Amino acid sequence: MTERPVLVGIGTVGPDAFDDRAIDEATFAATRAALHDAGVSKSDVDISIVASIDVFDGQSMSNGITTPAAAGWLTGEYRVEADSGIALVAGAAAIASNSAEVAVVVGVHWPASVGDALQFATDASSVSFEPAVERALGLSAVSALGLHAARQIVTGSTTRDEMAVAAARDARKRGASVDPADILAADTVAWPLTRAMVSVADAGVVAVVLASPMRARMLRCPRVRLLGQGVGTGGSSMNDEWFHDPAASTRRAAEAAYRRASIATPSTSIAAVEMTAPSIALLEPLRTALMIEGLPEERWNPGRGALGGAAGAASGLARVADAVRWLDEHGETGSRAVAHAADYPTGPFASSATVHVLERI
Amino acid sequence: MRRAAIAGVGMTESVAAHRQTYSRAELCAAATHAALEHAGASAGSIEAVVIGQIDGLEPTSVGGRHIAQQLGIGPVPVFVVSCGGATGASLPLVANHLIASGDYESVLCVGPPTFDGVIDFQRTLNAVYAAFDPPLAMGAVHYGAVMVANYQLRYGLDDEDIAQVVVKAHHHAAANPYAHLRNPVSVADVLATPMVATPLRVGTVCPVSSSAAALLLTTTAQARELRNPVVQVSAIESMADSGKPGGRRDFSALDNLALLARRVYSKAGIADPLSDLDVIEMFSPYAPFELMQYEALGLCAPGEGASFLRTGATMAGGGLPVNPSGGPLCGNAGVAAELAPFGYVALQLMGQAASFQVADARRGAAHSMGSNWFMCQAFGVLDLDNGTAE
Repeated sequence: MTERPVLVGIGTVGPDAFDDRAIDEATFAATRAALHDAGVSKSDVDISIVASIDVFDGQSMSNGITTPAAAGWLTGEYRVEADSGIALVAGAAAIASNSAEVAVVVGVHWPASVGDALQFATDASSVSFEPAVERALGLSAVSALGLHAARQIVTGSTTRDEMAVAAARDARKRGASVDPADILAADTVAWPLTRAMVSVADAGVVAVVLASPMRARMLRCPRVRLLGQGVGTGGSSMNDEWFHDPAASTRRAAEAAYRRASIATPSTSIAAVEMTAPSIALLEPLRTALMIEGLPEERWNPGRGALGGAAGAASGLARVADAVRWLDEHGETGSRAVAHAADYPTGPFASSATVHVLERI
Repeated sequence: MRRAAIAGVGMTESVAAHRQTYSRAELCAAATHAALEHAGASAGSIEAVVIGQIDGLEPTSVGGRHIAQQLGIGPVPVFVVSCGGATGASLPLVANHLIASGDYESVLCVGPPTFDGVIDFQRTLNAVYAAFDPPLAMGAVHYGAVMVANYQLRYGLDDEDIAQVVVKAHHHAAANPYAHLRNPVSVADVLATPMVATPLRVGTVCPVSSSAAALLLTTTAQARELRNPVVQVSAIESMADSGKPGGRRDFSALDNLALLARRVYSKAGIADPLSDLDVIEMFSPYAPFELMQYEALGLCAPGEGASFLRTGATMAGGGLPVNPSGGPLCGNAGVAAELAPFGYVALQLMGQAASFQVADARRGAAHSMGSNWFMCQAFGVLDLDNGTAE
């Protein structure tokens, strides 16, 4: 990829509390906001790529309703069932391959349930484990994350108290006033993890507009260049990587992204990181996998913490939006930030991670 | 500009879904390794997998990512695509973008079977379609019947015209070792089958099948180092309309496909598809759709699909064979059958056709479509390498 695509517009709905809009209404609202932010119209769009995972939204073949709402009507289009970070890679490829000048990429997580979000996601996750293990074992994302966290304790990598300290520090980044005792006092969801040690996805839709460098120069607000992107997919039941090294997919994604961005020493090249951790026990392994040593604590997840701001399949673009916001407010031309996300429909099993290196224009 | 090429094709034999004895992962692994062997490539050369799934239609969810883990090719990036019946043909579209972008050299497309494990498929479809239309107990076959009935009413098509499409499909499939239904049938046989949704009969709709398909796409340069004649992806696009009945002016025409085909032809430099193309494989799960597709692709004028068929042009040995594999009327395993048209056309251009070989085939087109009211279309043109592309 020689000329890197440019992100020229962002629109969001949430991530926050559920509202009463239908999935296509929320998709339309975010897409319309992104097009407006970019200063382009629907007719400028060459391809629309939607990311969502149907079972977690209580949908089936949802592209039938989200694609037209995502500016995908009478344009090139398709949907990926993965985190929107994957869709962003695909959108960038559409532009870099000269197949499109303007691409819309939309991440959708809009669960049909308005009850206990964690319970609904756990039920959906349990169903999703069946193709992984060829039978219903009662596993879910949370129970698999609990197994990993327990291993961290058993092997001496950390303690439950240290996890609580880390979770409280992460929560304070999003304005919560909690201490480690509060974290430990929360309901246990899968020992040693309490409810305050895992991320819970809020509903959200995030849309971004990408443009070729040439087209971006004609727009009012080119924001960041997608300098390098990488994708890594984690191991499944065929091996034990999910258990012993669940951050491996992030490490592979980071290596690919830095290579494509021609970054040899990420520690000296990256100014801030927005990343997603599904459990507090994965925070340090994921940080290590990103290979950015020496970054001050306040530059790690300055937006909403690693456990906060998760929005299911919309998380990847939500992190990109947070990173762009940080570059807007604190960066200068040439400053670089990393946005990382992974999807965890089955916890660390077969999780797809993406790393995007963003450079302020 | 860098172009992707199809370097290898792998497919498994199609059987009735309820009689399948292999798991979906086993079938996909078999297709994958058949594609690698066909290309003369190693598993280690694959840099990414693009795999399809249709959550809701399948008895599992997020199955694609787990199947990808069981192909035996290591921890490579996985892109899971899901857009109804257009999923299969969208896989080479995504692979083409990844390769032409310069970030990937070699991408495997995998079309798993979609219907394995489903006991009452029509009931499943009815429930799935109720998610985005009012729960009227309508499924894909009912949408198709509405469209075909409109087509029949407008152009005076009779049931024998529809049955002729099936007769042609079975004649072609009889020579295809991957097809599910390989028995020759007559017009009378087809018309004797029970009605499903007027005017569609059991004999004019696709079977519920199980098989897997895989394509190895690489850069053109890399494909030239491999085993087969190089088949380039000259143009491939997708497109959706609103998916709402109110968004269609005319149910008797596949306007969304017609618009998409014009775009693809323009990119591929095709002025007259009837003379410029040598072979076509379409996703036509209901027999009359093939006639409507002739018209959408510009092979004949609106309403002349049946008379065009009767000329014999689309038969094996005709001027422009359509679905010489038999098409989905003789085997529809979901995503696998939506990807298969690209595999069948690639094999034709390589001179290694699975069924009837089209003489001196150098350029072909492939397609799939689906989602509610068949709103999503994906269509591409493949060319035998002329040695000029990157």
